[in-house]
Amino acid sequence: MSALSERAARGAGFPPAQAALFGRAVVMHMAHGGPEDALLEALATPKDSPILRLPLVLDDLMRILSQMPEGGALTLLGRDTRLALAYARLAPVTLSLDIATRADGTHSLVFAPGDTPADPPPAGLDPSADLVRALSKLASKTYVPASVGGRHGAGAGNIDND
Amino acid sequence: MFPSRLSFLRALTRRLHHEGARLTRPVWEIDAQGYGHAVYTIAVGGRPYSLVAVSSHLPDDLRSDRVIATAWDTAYVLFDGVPGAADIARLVAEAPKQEAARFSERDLVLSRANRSVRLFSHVVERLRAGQQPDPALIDSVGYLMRTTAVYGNGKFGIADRALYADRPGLSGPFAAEMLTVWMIRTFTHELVEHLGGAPLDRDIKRHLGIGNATGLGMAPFLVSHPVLLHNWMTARETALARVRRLPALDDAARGTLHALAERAQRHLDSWTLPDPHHAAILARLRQDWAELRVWMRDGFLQDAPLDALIRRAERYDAPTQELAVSLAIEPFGRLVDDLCDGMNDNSGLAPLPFATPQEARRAIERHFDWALALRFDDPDETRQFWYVSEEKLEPRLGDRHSEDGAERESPLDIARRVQELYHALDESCDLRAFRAASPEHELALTRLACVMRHPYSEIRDNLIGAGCLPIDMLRSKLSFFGATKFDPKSDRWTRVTLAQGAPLPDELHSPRADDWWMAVRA
Repeated sequence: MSALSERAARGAGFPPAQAALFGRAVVMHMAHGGPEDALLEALATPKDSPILRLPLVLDDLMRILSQMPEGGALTLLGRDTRLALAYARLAPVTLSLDIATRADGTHSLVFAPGDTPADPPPAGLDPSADLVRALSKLASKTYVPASVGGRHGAGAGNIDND
Repeated sequence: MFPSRLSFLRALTRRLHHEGARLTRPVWEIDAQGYGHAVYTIAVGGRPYSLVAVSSHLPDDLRSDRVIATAWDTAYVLFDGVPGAADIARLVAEAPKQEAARFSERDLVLSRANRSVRLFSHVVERLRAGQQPDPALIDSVGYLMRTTAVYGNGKFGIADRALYADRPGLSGPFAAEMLTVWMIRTFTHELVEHLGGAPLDRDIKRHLGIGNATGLGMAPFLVSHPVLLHNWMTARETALARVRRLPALDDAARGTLHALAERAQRHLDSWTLPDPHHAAILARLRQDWAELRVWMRDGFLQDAPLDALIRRAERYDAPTQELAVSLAIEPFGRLVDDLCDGMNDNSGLAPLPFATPQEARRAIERHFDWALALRFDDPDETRQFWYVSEEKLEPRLGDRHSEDGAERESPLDIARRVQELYHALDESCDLRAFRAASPEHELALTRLACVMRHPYSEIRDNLIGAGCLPIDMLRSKLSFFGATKFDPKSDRWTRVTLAQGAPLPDELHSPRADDWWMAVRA
C-alpha cells in the first residue's frame, strides 16, 4: 500500500517527497482503522491538501520534541485533522496523540511522550477494491508507454538463450 | 567494486554455518522429463522457511532474459514456514505465472529462472553417459540456470519486508532474497542429477552458482534508499579502516593473503567477457593484479602492511584498487564481520538539520558542490530521463530530447533538484515559509538533510546526463549482493553469477564454509 499510495500521490500531481511521506502515512492511517475516503479526499486537491501541509507539521512536531520532550500542541487546519494522527505516528518516538478542538473551533494536534511501546508493523492491510482501484488509476498517470529506445536499452534481445 | 566478506550472500552462508542450519527436501515430485515441483525447507533464526520450486516445459523460442518475458523454465516462491498440501497446490499453480499471479503474505520472495542452454543439456547428457561435465564449459558458464527476477517486499501481493525485517536471519539487507537464491541453486544441482541419473562431482557442483540477468530495475533502488546505500558503504569503509590500522601481519595472515591474492588471479583468468570494452578492462586488471602481487611479497613485511597495499594499489586503475580493498578485508572476519549487522536502514524520520535558508545554502555548497558544478543548460546534462514503463512497471531510461514521456519522469534527478533548490532559496525568507510556498523543493531539502547525516548516501553523479552509465550502479549494488563474473551486455544490463563456490547444503558445517571469496574450481 505504501508504494502504491506514493505513486498515486505522484500521479495526482504531488511532489515526490510529499508523495513518499503520504505513502508511509497511508499505512499508519489504515493500520489504525482510518477511513479510506480521507485518503481520496487528500489526493483530490493537489494545490490545497494535507499531503502538502502535514509533512511540515510532522517536522514541527519532531523539532519541538527535540527541544521540549514533554510535548506540545500544533495548530491544524480543519481539513488536515483526518490524516494528522497518521503523519504524527511516523515520528520515531512513541507518542500519546490527540486532536483537540478549541472553544473557537480551531483544531490542534496534541502530543506527548507515550508510555506504551511503538506499534509493531501492521500485519497486513485490507484496503477495499475501490480504494485500490482509485489509487491504481492515479498511479498509472506516472507510467510511460515503453518507447523503442527504452525497450532496447532495458534488457537483452528478444530471445537470449545461452 | 568486488564482492567481499561483507556481501550479503557471504553473510547468509556464515549465518547458516554458525546456526548449524540443515536443508531438507520434504517434497520431490519431478518426473522423468524434469517437470514437476519440489519443496526445500531450512530453519534460519529459529524459524523454518521453504522454497517451493516448479519446473515446467518451455520451448526454446520463449526463453528470454528480459523481465518482460511471460514464461520460464522454473519458478520459485520462498514460503514463510512449512507449506501444507493446499499451500503447495496454490503455489504450483500460481508461481509459474509470476507477475500475472497474486500471492499472499506467507509468500516472501518470488523468482524464476531459465536454463543455460549452453550448459544444462551438456551436464545432463554427460551424467547420463556416466561422465562428468567438461570443466572448461563449467568455468565459462558457471551456472545451470539464470534468474531473471528475484522479487521481494510486497510485489504482486507477497509479504512486505516490514513483516519479517526484525526476524533473526532475515533482518539483513536482501537476506530473504539471498536465501532464495542459494536454495534455487541447490534445486538446479539436484534437477540435473535427477535428469542425468548420476551425481555431479562435488567440486564441479560447488562451482555451479546461479546466474542472474539484471537490468535497469536495480538502479533506482540505490537512489530511493539513500540511508541503506550509506550504511553499506560505511560498513565497507569502516572495515577497510580497521584493517589498514593493523600495525603488522604475522606469518599466517601473510600466507592467507598471498593465497587469496593468487586465488583472485585464477578467478580473473577464468572470467571471460565477450564485450571488447570490458574485456580490455579485465585484461588490464589481470596484468595489474599480477604486478601488485609481486609487490605483496615484500610489501606485506612492512609496517601497516594493508595501509601500504591500499596506497600501492592507487597506482593502478579503479578495478585493481577495488580488488585490493576486497582482498585486504577478506582474512579479518574477527575485525569486520560485526559490521554486517549495521547494513540495514533502521533510521527514523528526523527534522531538517538546518533552520534557515542561509544554512541550507551553505550545506549545499559543502555537500553538493559537485552538483552545483553541473551545467544543466547543456542539453546533454539532461538528455536522459528515468521512467516506469506502463508495459511492465519496470524502470526504463528515455531520451528527453527525442522521446515522449519526460513529464512523467521518476525523481532520480537529484543533482538538478539540489541545484534548483540552491538558486531558489531566498536568504531573506523564513525557511518554513519557503517550504510551504515551494513544495516542489522538498525532495532536494530532504536529500540535503540526509547527506548531512549520512555522507555516503548520495551517488555523486548526474543520473540524467548523457554520460551516466547505469551499469556502474548495477555493479556496485551487485557486488554488495556477492555477485561475481560480471558480464555486461550493454551499459544498461549485465549477467552475473551468484553463489559460485558457496557451500553446498552438506558443507555448511565445514570449517571452510565461509572460504569462497573469488571462488575458483578446485
